Amino acid sequence: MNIKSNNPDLNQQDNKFFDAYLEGDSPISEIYNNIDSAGPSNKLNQTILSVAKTATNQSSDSKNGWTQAGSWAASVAIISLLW
Amino acid sequence: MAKMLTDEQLIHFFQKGDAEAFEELYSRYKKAVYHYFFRQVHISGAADELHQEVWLRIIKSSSGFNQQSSFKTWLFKIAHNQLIDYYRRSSRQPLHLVSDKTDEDDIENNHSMSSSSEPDKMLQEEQAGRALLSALKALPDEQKGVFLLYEKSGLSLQEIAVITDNSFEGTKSRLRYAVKKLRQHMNQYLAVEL
Repeated sequence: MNIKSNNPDLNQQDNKFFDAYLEGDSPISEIYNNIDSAGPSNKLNQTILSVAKTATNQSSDSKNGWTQAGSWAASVAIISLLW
Repeated sequence: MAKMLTDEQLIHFFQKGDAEAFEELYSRYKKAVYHYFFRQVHISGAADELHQEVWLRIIKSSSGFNQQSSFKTWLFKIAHNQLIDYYRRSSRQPLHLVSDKTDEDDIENNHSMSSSSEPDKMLQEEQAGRALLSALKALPDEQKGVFLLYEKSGLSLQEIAVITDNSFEGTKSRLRYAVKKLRQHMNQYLAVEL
C-alpha cells in the first residue's frame, strides 16, 4: 500500500501531525487511551503473584538444600492448581 | 517504600528474595504487557497465556538480569519474542474470528464508566473508539507493534528499536506510517476532536 503523497501540503500536514503526536499532543492518543481498558484478570494477577511469592520463599529454602529445579517444579504445580 | 524505587532496584530486591518488590514491578507493567498482547492477538485467552508466560519467565530468570540494563527494555524484549513465538506456533490463524473478549466489550465497559453525561458526545466518542480499533487492527504487525509499545509502555523510540531489533530510523518510520494510516482512517472524527 503506497501512502506516499506527491502533494507537498499533505506531506507537511502529516509531518506536523506526527511531530505533535511525538510531543504527546495528539487526538489519536487521546481517543486510544480513553477507550482501551484491556488488562489482566484478578485471577491471573493472583496466579502470577503467588508464583513469585513461592519462588522467593523457595529461594531462601534452596539455601538450606532445595535445588533450583525443585523450586521451579513446585511453582509450576501451583499454577496448575490455581489455573 | 517500594513505590519510590527504580525498576532495577526492585528486580535486585526480588533477586534477593523480596516478593513485595516483584509485586510493585508487576503492578507497574501488568497493564502495558497485557495490553500489548491483547491488541495483537485479539483473544483474551491467548493474551492471558502470553502474559503469564512472560511474567513466569521474569520470575524464573530474574537472577540473570544484568543490573546495568533497563528492566523495562528487558521485559518488553521478552514479551516481543514471546509474541513472535506465538505467531510461529499458531501459523497466523485468523484468530480474531474466535475472540472471546472483544473490542466492543472494552469500549462498552469504558463508556459505562464514562463521566460524560451528554449522550451525543458519548456516542461520538464510542464511534471514534471503534473506528480507531478497527484501523489499528488493519495495520501491518510491525507498525501496530511499534504503535502499541509507544502508546502504552512508556518506552522511547530508541528502546523500541532495541526491543524489535530495528534501527532508530526504521522504528520511527514504522510509527510515522502507523500514525499516518490511523489519521487517514480517523479523519472524520479527528476533524471534530481537533
